[in-house]
Amino acid sequence: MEEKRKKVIVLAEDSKSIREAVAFGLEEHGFEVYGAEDGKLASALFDGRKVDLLLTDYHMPNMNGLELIKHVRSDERYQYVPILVLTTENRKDLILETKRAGATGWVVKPFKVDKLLQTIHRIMR
Amino acid sequence: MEKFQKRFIDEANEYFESLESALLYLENDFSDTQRIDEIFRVMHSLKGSGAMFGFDLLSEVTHDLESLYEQVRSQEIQLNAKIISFTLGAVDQLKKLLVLNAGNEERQLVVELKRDVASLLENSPSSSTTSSSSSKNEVVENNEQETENGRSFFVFFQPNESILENGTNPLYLIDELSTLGESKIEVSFASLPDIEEFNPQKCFASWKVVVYTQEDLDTIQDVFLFVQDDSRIEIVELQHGNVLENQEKIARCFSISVDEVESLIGEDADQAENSEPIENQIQVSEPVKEKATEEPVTKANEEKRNQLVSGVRLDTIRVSSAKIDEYMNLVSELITAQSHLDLIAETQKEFEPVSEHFAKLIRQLRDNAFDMSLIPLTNMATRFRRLVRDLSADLNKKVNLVTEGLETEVDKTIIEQLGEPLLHIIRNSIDHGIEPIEQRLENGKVEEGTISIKACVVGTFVEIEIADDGAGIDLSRIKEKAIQKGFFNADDSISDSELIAVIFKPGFSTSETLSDISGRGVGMDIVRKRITDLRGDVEVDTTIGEGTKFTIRLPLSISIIDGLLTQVNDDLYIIPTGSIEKIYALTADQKKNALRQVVVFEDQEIPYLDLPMEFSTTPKEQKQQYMIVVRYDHKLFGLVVNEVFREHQAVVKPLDQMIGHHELFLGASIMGDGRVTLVIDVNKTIQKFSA
Repeated sequence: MEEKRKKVIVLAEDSKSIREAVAFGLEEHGFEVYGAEDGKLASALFDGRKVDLLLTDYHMPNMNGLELIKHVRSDERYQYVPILVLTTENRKDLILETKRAGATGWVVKPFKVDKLLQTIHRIMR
Repeated sequence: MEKFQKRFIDEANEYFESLESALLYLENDFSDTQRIDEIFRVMHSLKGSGAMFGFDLLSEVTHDLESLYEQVRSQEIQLNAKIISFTLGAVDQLKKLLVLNAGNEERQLVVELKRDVASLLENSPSSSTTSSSSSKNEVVENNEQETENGRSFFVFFQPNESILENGTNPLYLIDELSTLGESKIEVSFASLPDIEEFNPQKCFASWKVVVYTQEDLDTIQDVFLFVQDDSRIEIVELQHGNVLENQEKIARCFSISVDEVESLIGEDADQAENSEPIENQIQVSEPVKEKATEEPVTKANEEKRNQLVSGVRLDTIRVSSAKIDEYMNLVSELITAQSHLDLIAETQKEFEPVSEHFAKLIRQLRDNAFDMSLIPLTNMATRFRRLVRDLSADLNKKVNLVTEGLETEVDKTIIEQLGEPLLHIIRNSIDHGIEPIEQRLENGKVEEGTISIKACVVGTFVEIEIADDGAGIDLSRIKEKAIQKGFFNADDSISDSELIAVIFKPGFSTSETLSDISGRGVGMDIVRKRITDLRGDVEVDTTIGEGTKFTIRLPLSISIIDGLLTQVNDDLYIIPTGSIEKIYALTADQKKNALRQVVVFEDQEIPYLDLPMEFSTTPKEQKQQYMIVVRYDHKLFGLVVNEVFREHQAVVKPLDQMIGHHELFLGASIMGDGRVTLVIDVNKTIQKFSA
């Protein structure tokens, strides 16, 4: 039987420690995680690769979360990829901005990886 | 988790460094928006990651600092020297908060820092607009007041039929809502179409929920934040206290039609004490028919996208330094293996071309590995700037720091070791070198002193020069003190360079009262030791009234060196090529005629050290030996050996403490045939034997 393809997650987060901790937690649960330290590097990962989920921080150098979401959504191939915003605060104006740009949901930092996984399963079905 | 906490600590330290650097630049240019953004972002990251990994106090303070810089960023607050100074100080304090088990001291620190940030925010002209930190506190307080007394809300939620298409499952929103407290839920399929029109991909359900919770209206609204544009959502606060216990009221809630929800408020108006104005209690949002957010993919969009994609270049990647060390180590093993191959090729000629090819590739690989482990001195510049800034302020002096060539790259192990000595020299220059302002003016100098740090590559060495235009070192005082301390006799004739060398002796300090600044931690003796440990040396030039200049010379790399393979008696020794100037043949007669071990070549008197004699009581006598002339301290010096073979790339391995005399050697190197050679530390050997 053909092995089930691992779900691919692109993780844009400028904090290395969070990036590694989240990637570690997700990889343990069978995801393939591509980390990027800013929006620009993350956007480069959307080069036709099959991506099942984008997790992105809001504040990042070079290209912030909002710009990244806009960039990803501007590509027809990625119009339906779920996007979760990892944000530090419940700033509704920021969250709504990302929502308008095409985000699917958000998770407030600090979060436990379990909570993140729950949310991920929820939006990826 | 521990592993990630450790990572976070490393990361936080990097953040602190970039904060310092950005702040120091901002100090000269308050309008540098890019750096203001950077500070904001770094504070934000510290806050977020700090909280993730359990550094709550750090997170708490950076939250406030982030608010401060958010206001600076939005120009609600004008950046000024006071804010920058405060932030620099705060960064120092943040370092203390990088602990997991915080005690009272840390908590006190947090209180103080938060108070200071608050006062900066208050002093701003825009203090009337509540800062986000204080508003957050208010929210917290409100919640506390209400912990004993929850509220009940009625929620009606009718998602857009197409909600399932974009991946949202409305059931999860209902789930989330019910996790906020106790709830009763009723689902309605009133709008379910006939079976012929039924589309399984659409959602025809709507929900009514009564929830009793400690949360406020905002939190309830947040649950639906992402669907509110496309859904019909009505939220009504029913009353304080638990409606769920009131069967009658529940029945009423579930029976009314959506358009009647407002009547629920009316019924409660008398019961709900302290109730907010009605407008605040309802949030009605009509489904938006056209999705304004989804722009069609136009040609312009396409172009923009292409631009963005092509603009992305992965110029740099970050690799842990442990990996680089490992890489260097493997390359050095490869070099050892190659010299074995080389040896085989000497007897079996068919291997010769292969061996040569390998040698060439390995040399390239080695250079490449070197390159990777080099980092620019710029990495230390922030520490220099910070020191100059803080110390000159403390001492009430004016000092300008000028740097040149800091982009010069040096082996990272050297940089790691070099920080303290360099900082100590700068500390000394500001403390003892640069004069107080009045004195400078009296002496006809400009008010502001200058410290310049220059770096450049000279051959296989890097030279770092730290100069100040201060008072210079008073050698007569040094002499007095040196005699007092018993380094010299009162009637000795002592040269200036001998006096300067005294500065580096352990236990020597001229300042009567050890000042808080340069009298702390490392002394000049340690500075010299650190530098010689790195196979470097340090020189001092000083002119009274004009200033002092320290010149530090260091090898570019310390683990693999090009050396000359030589023989002394029956053993092999390697002399680093970098320090070799010339090689002369030396006959036994020339040696015999030499006075006090000085020979003359090309009209130059060159003192030499007879290694066969020094290394053995039964030196190997030969008609002709070789003298390898090395440069030391701007002077030439000869090392006499029995044989000179060839150049050899030596992988230097540290020597065990067991081996006596080992201070004369940098380390050992293993030859292709397994023989061990010692690598001579030219500087130390000369220092030891010529003294």
